[in-house]
Amino acid sequence: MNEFHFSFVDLLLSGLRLSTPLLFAALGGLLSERAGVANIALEGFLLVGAFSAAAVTYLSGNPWIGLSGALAAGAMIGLIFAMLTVYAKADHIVMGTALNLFVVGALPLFNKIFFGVTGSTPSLELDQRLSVWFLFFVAVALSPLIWFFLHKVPFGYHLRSSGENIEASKSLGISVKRTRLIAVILAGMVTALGGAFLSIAHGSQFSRGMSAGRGFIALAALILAGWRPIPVILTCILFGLADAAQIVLQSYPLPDGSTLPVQWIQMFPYIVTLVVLVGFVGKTEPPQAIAKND
Amino acid sequence: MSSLILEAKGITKRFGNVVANDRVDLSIREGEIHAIIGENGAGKSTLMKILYGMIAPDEGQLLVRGKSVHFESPLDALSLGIGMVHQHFMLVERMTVLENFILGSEPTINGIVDEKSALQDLKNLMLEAHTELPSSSLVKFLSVGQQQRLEILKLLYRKSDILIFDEPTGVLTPQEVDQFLKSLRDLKARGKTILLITHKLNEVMAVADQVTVMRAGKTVSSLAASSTDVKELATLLVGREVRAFDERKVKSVKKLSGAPVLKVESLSGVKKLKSVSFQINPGEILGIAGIEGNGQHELVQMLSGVKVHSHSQGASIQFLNMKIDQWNVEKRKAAGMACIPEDRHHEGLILDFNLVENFYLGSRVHFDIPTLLPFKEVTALVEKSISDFEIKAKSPFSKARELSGGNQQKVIVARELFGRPKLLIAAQPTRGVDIGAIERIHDELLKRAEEGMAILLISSELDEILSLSDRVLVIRNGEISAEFSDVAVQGPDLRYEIGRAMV
Ligand SMILES: Nc1ncnc2c1ncn2[C@@H]1O[C@H](COP(=O)(O)OP(=O)(O)OP(=O)(O)O)[C@@H](O)[C@H]1O
Ligand SMILES: [Mg+2]
Repeated sequence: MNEFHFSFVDLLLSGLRLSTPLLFAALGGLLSERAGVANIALEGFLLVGAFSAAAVTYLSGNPWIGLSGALAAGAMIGLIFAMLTVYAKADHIVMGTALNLFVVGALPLFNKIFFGVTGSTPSLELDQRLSVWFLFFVAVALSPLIWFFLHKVPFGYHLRSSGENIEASKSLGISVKRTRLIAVILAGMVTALGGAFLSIAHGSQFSRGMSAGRGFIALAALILAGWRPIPVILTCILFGLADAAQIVLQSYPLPDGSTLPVQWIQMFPYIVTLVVLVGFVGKTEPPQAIAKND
Repeated sequence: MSSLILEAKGITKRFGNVVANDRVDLSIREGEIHAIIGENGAGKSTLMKILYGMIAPDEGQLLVRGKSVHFESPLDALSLGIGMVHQHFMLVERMTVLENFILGSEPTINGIVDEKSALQDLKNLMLEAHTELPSSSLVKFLSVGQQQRLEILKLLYRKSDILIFDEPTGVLTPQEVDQFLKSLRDLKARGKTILLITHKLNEVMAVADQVTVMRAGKTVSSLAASSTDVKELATLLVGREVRAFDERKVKSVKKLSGAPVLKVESLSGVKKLKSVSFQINPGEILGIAGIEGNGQHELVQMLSGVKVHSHSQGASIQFLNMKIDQWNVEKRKAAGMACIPEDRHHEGLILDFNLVENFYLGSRVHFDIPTLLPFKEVTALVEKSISDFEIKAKSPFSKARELSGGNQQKVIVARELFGRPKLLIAAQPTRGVDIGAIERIHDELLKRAEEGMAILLISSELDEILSLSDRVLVIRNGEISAEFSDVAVQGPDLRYEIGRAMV
């Protein structure tokens, strides 16, 4: 017989923690999409961040160096995505899908090269990991910072106008391509922090598929928040709570003492995502020039 | 007179095998208002885009203040003081007035946008230009006239002293046009040089010092405005005589019998429209006059079926005695309604589709197999439209985007008339269309009306209303504020009264 302990506070805390990677990814997506680059490659960005953070932390023994490694790798993958979409003018959605597939295929190879196995990086010691709450507060603090960046800094103006009206931006001498390139590199860096959360704060290693669709859930949170940096905190927490509830429900006892099949319960966050998307897509307005190439 | 500030010599620009500009020469003197007129597709916009550095000429030379220049981008032109207000505004709709004002040239303190000084600059310029805009409102909430004024302020902020306007008055209300023309004179008084493209010859006569006429990619003549008149300009422009806009070509007033084609009863919308009722008889042209933004758009959307509402009590739309309130666009079209929407780019055409595709999409219901594209048939129809309406297009497979503004409009008119509709809703049917083509479209509308087609003509152009309508309703604040019958007989005498009912 299962003993079931349920504490609302625990659920809440766990939800907040789990919202962290979503928030990083959603903010990354925001930077990219507000600049006009549709970004379904967030999933790949997360995995790259997770792997590089874990690998560099293990090799250096220092999570801060690991975090820097994640930022650098995030910038790299952002650069690649920007080259494909902004400069090679490929379709953003097709390229996002391709990049995700590429990352899923390439990371085990890197893992094999560095650590001899394809599945996961070696486990980190407890003192080699970062505080979950530290990263949570970084993510939350980043939101108003990005708002400020978008609304008070010239580059933020250019970023928004590039995502809204390409012709108008160009007529004012703004280089839409360069602006988007920088925005997507920043998106890669921010999202990679979410990956680092998964592998060196919340978890203790990188393992295959550990992002578990969070890049896409973050995208849903972004849409729900109308691509705005402050509301996105709340929508990410909503999805974080859904994720936490899923974990709690896994041990929820049914009257006969058994539990619900895990597979069903694990669907919960995704079902929430689906419901939200069906209900809200089209109700919030995306940047007008999203996915359009200059 | 003063010196030449801007010169174009032998400018040629080709798009594929279309020669948009063919060895064009143009001389602009400092401090003058220089009008450039010409038929749709004559190459006016192309020439302006070259002067502004938006596109590069294939051949020819540009001189600014006597020095030969070469523009890589609009920025180069801007740095020499050349700025342009485009036919379609270059504003970011979801940014504020202030943000748009400084976009691309933001003043900063320590890397942060100095909103205070920007706001001060905006206020100063607004004061100088006698205009007032809400600085923190999003541009999408501005009226078209306000957006245009913002565009002008943007140029002034960037210290442009050669201002290019491409069809600036096409989208303005009569009041706004007056205000705009006045602001042009103001700008001139402040030493600015102005290039003005327009299809409206009375505007040319009202403000211009010099007029250059373009035809088929060439400049055919350039003359002082004081030495010419509307009639001469019209003849130069079209290459033949045209009847003046206010000379009404009287439709044989033949009363067609039969039930009303359209009967609208206490129709209300969600935005503007308030309990509007009217009916149109076969063969009748009912004009809806009014300043834009008083509910016309909603009326068109509800009549054409783009928006279907059933909330208001007692409201009904009857078409040929059928209650069509809940019908969708397709069903209404199939029953014999057609619509020329006011915004050709958003509602009339898919710019990246070619003419055949655009034609078919809008007239799909009139073909036997409404799911398969009857390719040959539609291509032939488009070819016929091209010759009937003198549409300047490379081929039926040109993308809509590649046509000049006025020619895009003609494609829509041809398409909507094709199905022999019993009712045509025509919203601003001749916006941006040259005078020769206006005559062509007006003749066609009158002919169809004589054959029994009813027309609901929505136009902010009072001349157009007066020269076509049998009866006129004035719409104000979403309500019908006045009705005038026998317009054909009283004609121009009603101008003043109608104008008064509009405000
Ligand atoms: N991007 C383009 N691709 C192909 N053809 C083009 C393009 N832009 C313009 N043209 C063609 O060049 C010719 C001149 O066009 P332009 O827009 O300069 O005419 P316009 O005088 O401004 O006409 P309107 O009064 O209708 O605006 C037209 O035949 C048009 O179809
Ligand atoms: Mg034009």
